[in-house]
Order: sequence, then C-alpha cells, then structure tokens
Amino acid sequence: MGAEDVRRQKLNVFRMELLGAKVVPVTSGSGTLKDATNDAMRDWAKNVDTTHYIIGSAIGPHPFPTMVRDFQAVIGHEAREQMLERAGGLPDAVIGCVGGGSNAIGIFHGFLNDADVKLYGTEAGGRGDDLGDNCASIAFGQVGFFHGTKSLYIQHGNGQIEDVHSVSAGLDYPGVGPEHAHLAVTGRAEYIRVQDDVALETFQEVSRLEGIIPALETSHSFALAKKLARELGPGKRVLVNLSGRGDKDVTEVARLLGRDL
Amino acid sequence: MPYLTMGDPSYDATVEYAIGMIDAGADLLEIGIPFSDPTADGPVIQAAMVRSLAATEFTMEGLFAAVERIHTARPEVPLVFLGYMNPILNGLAASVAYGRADFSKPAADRLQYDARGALSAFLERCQKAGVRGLVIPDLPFDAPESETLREIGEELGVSQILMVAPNTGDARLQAICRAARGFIYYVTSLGVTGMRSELPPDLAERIALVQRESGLPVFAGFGFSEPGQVAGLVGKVDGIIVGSRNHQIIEELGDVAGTALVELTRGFASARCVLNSTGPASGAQALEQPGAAIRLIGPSPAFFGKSVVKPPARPNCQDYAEDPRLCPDRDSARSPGPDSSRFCF
Repeated sequence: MGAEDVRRQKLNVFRMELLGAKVVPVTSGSGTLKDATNDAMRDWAKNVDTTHYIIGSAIGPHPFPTMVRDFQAVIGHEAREQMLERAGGLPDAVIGCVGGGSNAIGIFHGFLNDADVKLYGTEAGGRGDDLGDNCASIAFGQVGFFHGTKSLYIQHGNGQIEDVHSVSAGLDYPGVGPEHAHLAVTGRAEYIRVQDDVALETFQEVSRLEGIIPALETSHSFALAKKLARELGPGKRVLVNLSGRGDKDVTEVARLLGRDL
Repeated sequence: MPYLTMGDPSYDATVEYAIGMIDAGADLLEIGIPFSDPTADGPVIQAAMVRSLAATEFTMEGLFAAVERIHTARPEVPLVFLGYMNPILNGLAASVAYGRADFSKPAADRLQYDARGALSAFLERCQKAGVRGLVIPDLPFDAPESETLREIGEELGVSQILMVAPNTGDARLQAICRAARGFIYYVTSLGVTGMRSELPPDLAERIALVQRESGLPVFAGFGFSEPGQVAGLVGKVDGIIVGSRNHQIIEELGDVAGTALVELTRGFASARCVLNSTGPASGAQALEQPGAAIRLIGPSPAFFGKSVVKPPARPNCQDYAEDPRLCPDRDSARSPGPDSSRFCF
C-alpha cells in the first residue's frame, strides 16, 4: 500500500493486520495506488512461483481488468433484478465512481444492454482542472501504455506519468480501466468530474441525512446523484453504487475539517 | 554491453561516461530512457531514473540530442535503447496531439489516435541517432504495437530486442525466437533489475536453448555486477548486460564516476578477452549494412571469443565469418587452420 494511503486509510491497514496480513508501505513516487501497483508487480515478478497478484481495480494487464469486471458485475446484475422487483422498473441513471473504475464497471455491466439507462461515472476532480490537481483520466488523459494496459492516462506531454491528486485514496490513480475508456469514447457512458470539496460536503450530508457514512470515493457519486435527481425531476429512478463504507475515511475527513481525533 | 540511464546525473555526464565505457571495451551500449514508473527495474535504476527526471526537464528531443552526441563521437558502436512503452509512444512532441479525447465532438470523432505515426516518428529518430535496437520491457512481443514496431523497424534498421525469462514456456519461447531480430535479451533470474549474489544453476543451459531456437546471439542481463560472475559463462553467452552496478557507482560518485565506470567496463571486457586469442573485439565489427535490420546487432563481436568449435547452427554465422568487415577473427576465418571454424559470436 502506498505510504500516503497507509496514513489516509489507517483503519483499513489495522483491519488487514488483524486478519493476519503484513502491510508493506511503498514510499516511491507519490506513495499512492500507482506506486503500490508498481511495487506489487515488481514483487510478483520475483516471486511468481509462490505468489499471485490480485488487484482490486479494473486496471493492469489482461486478463485482470476483465476478471475484476466480471466479479464486480455480480452487483450490476443483482441491482438490475432488484430495481425491476422493488423499484418497479429500470433506473434512468446509474452512477459509479471511477478511479481505475472497478465498482463502476461492475454496476454498468448490469445495464449495458439497456439503451435507455444512462450510465455515469464520477471522476475525481481533485483541486481543479490543472495537470496534477485531479485524477480525471477520461477528461484529461491521453492514450498510453501503463501497468500493462492501453488506456487513457494523465501524463506530461513527454510521456511521463503525472503524479495526480484526489482527496480519496481509491480514486487517486493516473489512469482508468480500459473498458471505461472505451465506454467514454463510444459515448455509452458519460464521465463527470466531482471536486474534493464537493465530495467532502456530500460525505457529511449523506451521513447526516441517510445515516450512511459513505466512502470518500462513493461521496463523489452521491454528489452527482443529487445533481442528476434535481435535473431529472420527480418520478425518475437514480441508482447509486454505494461502493464503500466511509468509516475508513473518518479520521482523514476529521483532519481535513480541522478536527484532531 | 553496459547500461546507462540517460541523464543520471546529467546529460553531459552520461555522454562522457558512455564514450569512456565504449573506449574501455564496451561492444554495444544500452541507454535507458528515464520513466516515472519503471516497473521492470529494481531500486538502483529506479533511483537513477528519479535523479535523471529531477535533474533536467525530460524531453525526448533533449534525450535524442544527447544520444546523437554519443553516436557522433563513436559512430561504430551500435546503441540500444531500454525504454518503457509510454514515453516511446507519447514522448516526442510530434506525438502529443495523438490520443486525447475531445468530448465536445460526436463519439465517432472523439479520439484521434495514431500509434503507427507515433512509432514511425520515434523509430526515425532512433535511426538518425545510431540506435539500432529497442528493449521495451512492458510491451509483450505479441502485442499489436510490437508487430507495428517491428514492421517499421525492419525498414529503418532498428530492431525490437525481445526478452526471454527463466519461466518463459516452450511455445512462447519458440514464438519469441522466431520473431526476434538482432539479439535476444535473456533475463537471468525472475524479478526486476539489480545485483544478485547468485545466478540460477541452469543459466548456461537455458541460454544454449535460446541460442539454438533463435539462431541469434544471446545477451544475459539482470544481476551482473562483477566480472568474476561471468567466469562460468565464458563461451556460453554472447554478451553480458551490466546496469545497476553502474548506477550504484554513479549514486556514490555523481559526476566524477567516469574512472570507476571505465574500470568496471574494462574488467568485464577483459573477462572476455582472456579467452579471445585474437584480442579485444571492437564494436566496429558489430556495425552493419544500413537497412538490414535482421543483422543489425547480430554479428556482435566475439564477446567471449568462443575458442571452442561450434557447429554452424545459426544461419547468419557463416555470412559474417566470410565478411572481413564483420568478423573479428577475419584472419582465421579466411585461412584454414585449427581455428577456421570459429565463428564471430
């Protein structure tokens, strides 16, 4: 795990250790997901006889993005059934947050063939639109090769991968899963940027109004849900993939709000 | 074949070190294109790339300009790039326009992406700068881009150098050997670049297999730091790649590392020469007719001066032996005698 993420997601680290894992912080680069992926691949290459690389996001060389998509798609297929059964029809919009994009590609897959269902991915808008201030690979990326995948990556004009930024560790990655790039370019899904401060506000708002503390990543999706619901008007259905719990983020959010826990 | 990351600690120093190492007996020189995320490299070369990227604003044009200085100074020595795919594809200013999606346009026109154009531009610059081979550790040999690269490279005389690892399976090894040009980069042991205290016991056997399958010279890399390590490989491998040890020296000595690097290169070169009765081979003999990508680096000089009689297993061998420009052992190749069946590599 990137050293910066070890700091930001202390609770997850402690949980993994409780379950018997050894968590190794990675200090190279920006100490985030990208760098942890680099070192995981390096370690795997060395210990390939005794180790298997398991990545959580829809990135990395084939077949990893496909595997992650297929496992995450269980949520999409179940959500579709439940919408028909309990909400009385297909959703008008489906939202998932996108760093590498595992949860989003999973929920999208339940609805890809339903042409009337609009698919929305929320990208981390970070501090703004400048290079290095966000992780919006679809908005600002360029076709490239990274971590064994051809997709859209945020990079300098000279082919170096940029150090990117998001308030949420899970979205803090300079690229996006290849299938999202495809859905974006073909127009099947639309990708919207949500900035750090909006995500932070939504984190608090959803906690207060729904009694659900969403992950900071997921807060990006709720922010868009609020906006879409207003635009679509009454009687429409918006499905949000609640991809993660926010208890892992509580300490970091408190720090960002000026509270020392 | 020594390896240097371009720009560690500065472009000027790399050019100076490169020339010194060539003069000390390097037959080829591998130049690393620094990359933000070198996943095939261990800590030493990672740090070298970080230093390079911090020292100068990286531009592919600047890098090529420095490489051209080395080529101009020592035009007879073939240069080889070690580069990750992303800077190769997107590093040249000419390529920057490619591959950005414009969402204000309808879906069909959103993405202008021309990998062939970008790779052509890059390979043309390579040709101009004396770069005759490309090692791209994060591009599988059977990716479509690899095929495009080899196709364009064949015309320009720039070979894609393919890698074989200890765990490459039989079918894949054969396919790699069929597609390979120049030489094969044999990765001695699993993992990333870096110095190893021990090399796998079956190394020589694996190298022989790759030599047989490919008919090409096989260079071994990953793990070599001291000339003493190659003793067991003399006569069995066509070249040795030394990288991390060079950058460990640079890490210690910065821009005054020249003498130590030259000494190390000389050590490796003499490990070769001890067994090569005809004396040190020069990189000149590795240079080839322009345009013949298949041979570019093929006729590498007698890296370890095989003094054993070797069956003519490799198709190109004979040609080189008969070509006095290419063969370091040209006298013995011409005149029948105890050494008449010695080959150049």
